[in-house]
Amino acid sequence: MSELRWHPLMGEWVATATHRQDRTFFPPPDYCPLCPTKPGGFPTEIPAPDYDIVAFENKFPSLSPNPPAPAIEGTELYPVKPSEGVCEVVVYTPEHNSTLAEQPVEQIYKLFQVWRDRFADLSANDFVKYVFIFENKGVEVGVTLHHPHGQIYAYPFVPPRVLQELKMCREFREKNGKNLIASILEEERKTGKRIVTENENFTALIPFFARYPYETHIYPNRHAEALTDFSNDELRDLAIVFKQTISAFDKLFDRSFPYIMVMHGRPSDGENYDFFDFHIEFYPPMRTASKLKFLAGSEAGAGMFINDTLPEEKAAELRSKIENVEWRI
Amino acid sequence: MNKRRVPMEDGRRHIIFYTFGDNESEESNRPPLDTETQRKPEKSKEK
Repeated sequence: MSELRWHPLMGEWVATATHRQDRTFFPPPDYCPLCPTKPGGFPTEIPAPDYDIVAFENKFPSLSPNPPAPAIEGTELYPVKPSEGVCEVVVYTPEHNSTLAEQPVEQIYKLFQVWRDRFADLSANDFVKYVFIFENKGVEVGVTLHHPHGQIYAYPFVPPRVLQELKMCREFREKNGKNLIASILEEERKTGKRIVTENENFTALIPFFARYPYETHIYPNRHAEALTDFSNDELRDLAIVFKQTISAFDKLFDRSFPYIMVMHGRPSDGENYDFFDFHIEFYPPMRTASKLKFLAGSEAGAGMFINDTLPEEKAAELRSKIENVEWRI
Repeated sequence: MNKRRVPMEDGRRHIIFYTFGDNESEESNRPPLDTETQRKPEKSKEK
């Protein structure tokens, strides 16, 4: 059963998706559904003996292009509607025992081209209002398949976190005549102490207002609202900064570093969003080598984050782990 | 970048295989076009 139920207190939609209780949960390595299907072997989700990067609809989606009718009738107080949308899986590499950070920058550049293409493809659907690209990495954030992969949700509405960013960016632009993201970047450059790495086209930093100890953002150095606004040369630079950042994460505690990675771009509803800038945000759950940052009472119940660290110190720590990235082609 | 869509057998629409040439530096420096489908353009912005 799957439907969207309106949350009258929060003013947002909640998806029920009871079939997801049966989704694949830590399968043995020989039965990974994201590995290539080897001749005579277990038929995985990917019917080919090898591949570079693939994308397909999630077998256990919370949103689907042809959703069932809601299993329950809505009321004036409790509206319901079909869970229309698309949930895709993007598999980054056929290598099961790898991570995105371990992939060469050339593969990450290819992946950004795929992400850009998926954004354009999914945005073209009339019922899609927002395309959300993300990666959950590590059991600490609930991952149930270890094979390197990410996800894309194409929502039939603009989700609340993005709506709030859009509201703040719109108001800032109306008041100041310039974009908020560009102004944050300008402010961060005054001292540079929270900047982690940068190149001609992109800057990675732990912002002044970080809510997680290693919350890192990647901003474009020019105005751009979505992945489709970037040239291939710019995507190469984005791949470099991205690779440097996630490789530095792994060096912090000498282990594969868990994170939630999200991309915030303009909605896909055809409206004007020139006050908004595309950016990437990482929410790593670790605050030390052995301690996790939990979303507890204040964060989950009141919406106020408490960061046990100083962004300036964490940025210096992460910056010390940054290494040059070399192209092999 | 090229892509190949393969129908899936369980009702899902398709799986897309992305492949990349060795001479990417010679590719157009613009977002790629879907050469296999009549893709609608991303919705136009109303300025």
